[in-house]
Amino acid sequence: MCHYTYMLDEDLIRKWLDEGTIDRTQAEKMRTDLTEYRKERRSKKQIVAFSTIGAILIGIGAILFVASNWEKLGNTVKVLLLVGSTVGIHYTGYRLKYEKQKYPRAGSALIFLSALFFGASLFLIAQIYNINANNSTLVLIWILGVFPLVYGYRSAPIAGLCSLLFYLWIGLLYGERADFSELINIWDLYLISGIGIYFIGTLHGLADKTKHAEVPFKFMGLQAALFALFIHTFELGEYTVEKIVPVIYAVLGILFLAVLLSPLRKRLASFQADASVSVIALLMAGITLTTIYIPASENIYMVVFNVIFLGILTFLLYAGYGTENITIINTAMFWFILLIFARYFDFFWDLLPRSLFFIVGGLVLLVMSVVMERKRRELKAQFTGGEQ
Amino acid sequence: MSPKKIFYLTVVFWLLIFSGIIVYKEYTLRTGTEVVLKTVPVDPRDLFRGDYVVLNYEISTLDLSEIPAEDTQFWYNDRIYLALEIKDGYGVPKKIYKNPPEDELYIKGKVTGILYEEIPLPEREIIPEEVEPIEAVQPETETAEIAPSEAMPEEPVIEETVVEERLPEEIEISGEEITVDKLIVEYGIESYFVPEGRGLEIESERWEGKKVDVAVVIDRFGNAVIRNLLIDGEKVEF
Repeated sequence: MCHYTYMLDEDLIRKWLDEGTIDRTQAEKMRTDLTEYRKERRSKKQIVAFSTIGAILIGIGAILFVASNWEKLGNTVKVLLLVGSTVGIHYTGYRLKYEKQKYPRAGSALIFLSALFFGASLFLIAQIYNINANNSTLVLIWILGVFPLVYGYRSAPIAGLCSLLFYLWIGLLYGERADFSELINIWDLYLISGIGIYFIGTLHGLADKTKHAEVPFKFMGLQAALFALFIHTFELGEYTVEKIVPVIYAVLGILFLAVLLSPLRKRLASFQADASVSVIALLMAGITLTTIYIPASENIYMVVFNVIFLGILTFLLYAGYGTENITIINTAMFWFILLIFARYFDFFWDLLPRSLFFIVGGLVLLVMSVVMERKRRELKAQFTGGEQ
Repeated sequence: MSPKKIFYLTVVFWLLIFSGIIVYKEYTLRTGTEVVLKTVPVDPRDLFRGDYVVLNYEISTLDLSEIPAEDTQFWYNDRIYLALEIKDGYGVPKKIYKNPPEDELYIKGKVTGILYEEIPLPEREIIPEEVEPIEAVQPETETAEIAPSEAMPEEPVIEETVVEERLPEEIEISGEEITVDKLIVEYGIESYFVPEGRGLEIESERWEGKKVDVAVVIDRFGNAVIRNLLIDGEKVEF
């Protein structure tokens, strides 16, 4: 999330040149170096993107291979094949990243791939022994198996994978335990989890050794929190809350605030975005507490959550601009568009004749895409000093 | 810690996890007793493991009026131990225990649902006000929609009330008003994974009137592992 690109741009070089701070040769050297730097950075990003996407595709392929339960191969052969591949891929990744050191990015991608293969192997064994379907414990074992690699190999993609698996795990656990639904609403559970993961990301940002995991945890936490809040903006029916829920929100919010208000805050690069997530926790503590004693109608909750969601998105946009963080801005804009879509369908579907609905909707989208494109280009140019 | 050590530790850790699961299941398969259980399957799909047959056993629903129980108070997620006896080649329930019984073949399960027996309706009028168990249950019961004339028959009407979505604490089950009638139990053997598309074959065979049974192996700790799916007594081969 924190792709801070404090780049020297052409205007600045010209200014220094005019002021006499640098001479023409130095200015030329700076320009050449900057161009080289941008090219190198772009190339590194492309390598990371391609290798990670490649790893994800192969990982999905391995999982689908398990799911197909191919009868032509015996169980022992399948286990040896998949476990052998897991260890082999892991070893190759380790060799490329640490021993040869020539292909650190490809090595990281292979280590990530081995984490996916670990899960595929686990599910293959579970399939052979007919361990119950949609079993949350298996996902938990997958998390426990790969989580140490987040720190051992300083792997950001595995931190992202663990966050994703965590959401899957709580979803499956929620389905398994009928009593959980009496205790907490699934969307509140995801909201709490999202805020929790974001908070963990913030804590990771405090130390240099764990800083690599800050971005994936924060990104995944923010998406889950916004997703759960977004769901709350619909008419979900009666909203009931047990007493434990506001307590969890309050504890999370207070812990978050304690970190944000402590001297440690100087180490946090995205203080404003962090603050907005802690505000979500405290707001939810207030809303859920009020719900226990003064329950409101579903329409009121819908309005309240829409206002909160819009407020948080505005706050995030402000935070994104303030910290020159294009990822936060993109995230806020994405959810903002989704909110507009949802409300457009909610409010106008029944009111307008269908043809008009689609024509107006299409026009709104076209105009929005032009505006968004221009705005995004402006922002990107502003952050990267002219790089498009 | 050096990356080399981390690499070796990771590989050892992963292999321990894999072999741990394999050894745990193989122990049951190699040391346990084989029992055939009657089932009623359907065909869904698991996120990571593809097609599987859902196995709903006769012992998945335990009727407390027919099967003796060590204790009749049950809660969600309670661990139970069902003693089995072999009758006509099938494992059938003998007694429900809260603790592992000694010298008996038993299977370990978890209570995932409770069915309550509702009291005869005419008796409601004499329920003390502070207990109010019927009112607590009524909104989610079938009897809540019964018209007054239907709800007051001459003979007391006993109806089963499914309250799986409710916490047991909400239902007054002390006294004679509502008692636990049936338990829905999971034994960890409710899925049988099949090659892609083959689940429907098994399902169609069931509809053709063929008998679908499962041979499970139960170890001395009550852990069960599926060994084979049997159609009309024949092992299903994939």
